[in-house]
Parts: sequence; structure tokens; C-alpha cells
Amino acid sequence: MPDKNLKFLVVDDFSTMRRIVRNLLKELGFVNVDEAEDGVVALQKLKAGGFDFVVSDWNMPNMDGLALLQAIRGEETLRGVPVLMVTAEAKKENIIMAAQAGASGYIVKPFTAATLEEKLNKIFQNMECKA
Amino acid sequence: MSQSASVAQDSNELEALFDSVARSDRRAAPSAAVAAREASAQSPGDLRAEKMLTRIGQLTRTLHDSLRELGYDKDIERAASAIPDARDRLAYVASMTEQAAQRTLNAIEIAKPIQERLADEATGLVRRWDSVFARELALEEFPDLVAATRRYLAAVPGQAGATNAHLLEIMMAQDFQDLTGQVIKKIADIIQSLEAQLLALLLENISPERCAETGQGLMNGPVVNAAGRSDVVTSQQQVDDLLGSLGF
Repeated sequence: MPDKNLKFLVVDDFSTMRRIVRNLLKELGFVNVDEAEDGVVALQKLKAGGFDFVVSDWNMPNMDGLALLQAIRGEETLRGVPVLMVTAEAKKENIIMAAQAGASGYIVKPFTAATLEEKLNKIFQNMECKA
Repeated sequence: MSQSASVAQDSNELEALFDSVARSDRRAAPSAAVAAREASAQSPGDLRAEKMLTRIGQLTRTLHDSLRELGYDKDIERAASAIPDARDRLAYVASMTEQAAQRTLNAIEIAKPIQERLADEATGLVRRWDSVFARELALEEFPDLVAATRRYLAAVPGQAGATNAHLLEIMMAQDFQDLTGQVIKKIADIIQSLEAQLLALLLENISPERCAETGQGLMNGPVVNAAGRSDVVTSQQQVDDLLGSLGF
């Protein structure tokens, strides 16, 4: 059973999308949600500590989602944080690259609330197995 | 200088430029004999450059005319009245869609708690009535329960009305689509014509070896037309299948 106090970081350059994901997480009981508009800001916030989960877009200025994912996986203190990609990028090449870089899941836009819930739960299950 | 005055001044200067290009264009289409004489006087490189310059001039003229048509068309002007050029029009579209999204999300964030409260109060009353029918409720509490139930029922129309008002607001927030749709269509027409002419120009002048397709990269945005493509997925199910097949 995931802790409802888990701290999420939602990363997307469109504030509308960040708001939608925030509201969906709230629907699922997760109210501890912070936001970042690109990978650079996201990495700063993550390094400051306290985050348990990252939901990130791919196509963003300054540092895109793939680079952010790679930075997270390359950082000792952040390596284990789940990163769920939520992106409009639908090329098979993108999906494979994300998986190989260590993405915990991949959701393609436009997506449904049910899909987000399903992928989150799948990641929580994996986390519990490893714990 | 006022916007319309500066546009008018730009217009006059541009008109003069286009007319001079058109004159040189007419000069560039002489009779065969004259052409033969001119050809022997200029190198092939010069000829090609001059031809390209003329084509670019024609192209720019067409673009200018289309934009002017866009700007002074009354309906579009009313919808996009403060905007002088195509790039600003695109910014307008982005801003209108963002406003509509914010308006909609605002209305939803206010209406949701109303609905949740409505449901929670009903659930609470149902529990109390269930205890009545299970003969668990003390007699003294009964009038209070009846009063609470009547209060709740009286409050429902008001709450439903408030939610309805927010739903109406959401509906009205969709009005951007009509305006942005018009502006987008016009921009799309301009771009299509521009692309066709530029492509024709390029194909006439580029050497065959340079035609090889370059890689598309990883930042392509949403797939708008998947027809004939085998390198993209079109549903979450396909994403899951692909990842599953690779052992992820």
C-alpha cells in the first residue's frame, strides 16, 4: 500500500499539463506534489532532497526528459527514485531509449486517468518487491 | 507612429520593392535571341543566382499578399485585431488555448468540492437512516434526523445549480476553438503555399547527392498522422506491448 504522503515532482513545460497531473494525483490520494518546468529546475529540486517519485515530460527546453532521467540515474542519492515518463513522443526509438536509460514506466499522451493509476500502481508493486 | 500608419508605410516601401523585382523579372524573360546573347555574356553560376533571386522575390511577394489578405479580412481582423504578423498569430493561438484550459481547470477545481460535499452529506444521512431501520436510533434523535434530512434536500437544488453554473463556464471556455481554428487554417494555407514554392526552388537547384534524408531526432512532439509509418506507436497498449516484448 503506497504511502499517501509520498512526495511527487511533476515536470512539464506546459503549466496546464502539470495542473492536470497534479489533480489526477490528488484524485488518487497523493497531495504532496511539487512542480518544475524543465529538467534543470527539476534536478535542482531533486538534489535538495525529499522526493519519492518523478513524473516527467520529454520535450522540454534547457534539459529534456531523457537527459533528466539519465542525470537522476547517474546521481548516487537519486538513483532509486522512480521516474514515470508521460510524453507525446510516440516513436518506438523514444520508448526503447527511455526504457534503456532506466525509466520506470512510459505513458504516451493523450492519456487517461485510468492509465496513470495503472502505471503508478505497477511501479509501487515493483518497489514493494524490491523492498 | 501608430500601428496602421507604420504598416501603411511598410506597405508602400514593400510595394516599391516588389514592383522593382517584377520589372527585373520581366527583363529576365526576353526573346530567344536576346537570351542567347545574354547567356554567352554571363557564367552559368551568375545565371542561376539571378534566377534564384527572382524566384525568391516572387515568393516573398506572394507571401506578402497572403499576409495582407489575412490582415485586412474583416472577420479575421476582428478576431485577431491587435496582431500584425503570422508569428504573433501563432502566439495568439497558444495564449487563447492556455486561457481556455486555465478557465476550465478553475471551474472544475471549484465544482468538484461541491459535488464531493453533496455526496458525503448524503452518505452520512443514509448511515443515520439505516440505523433507524435497524432500530438502533434513540427516539429523541429522530426529529433531529428528520430536520437534518429536510435541510439537506432543501440545499441540493442550490448546490446542483452552482455546479451547473461551473459546467456552463466550462462550455463557454471552449469558444476559443472557433477563433483559433480560423486563424490556424489561414496560417496553414500560407505555410503550405510557401513550402510548395520553396521545395520547387530547392529541387531545381540542389544537387542529387544532397537529397538523402537526415535523421529525425528524438524531439518530434505528438504524431499527427501515423498513416504509412512503422516507426511510431498509436496507443498506450502498443507502448506496453513494445516494452513487454523487450523484457521491460
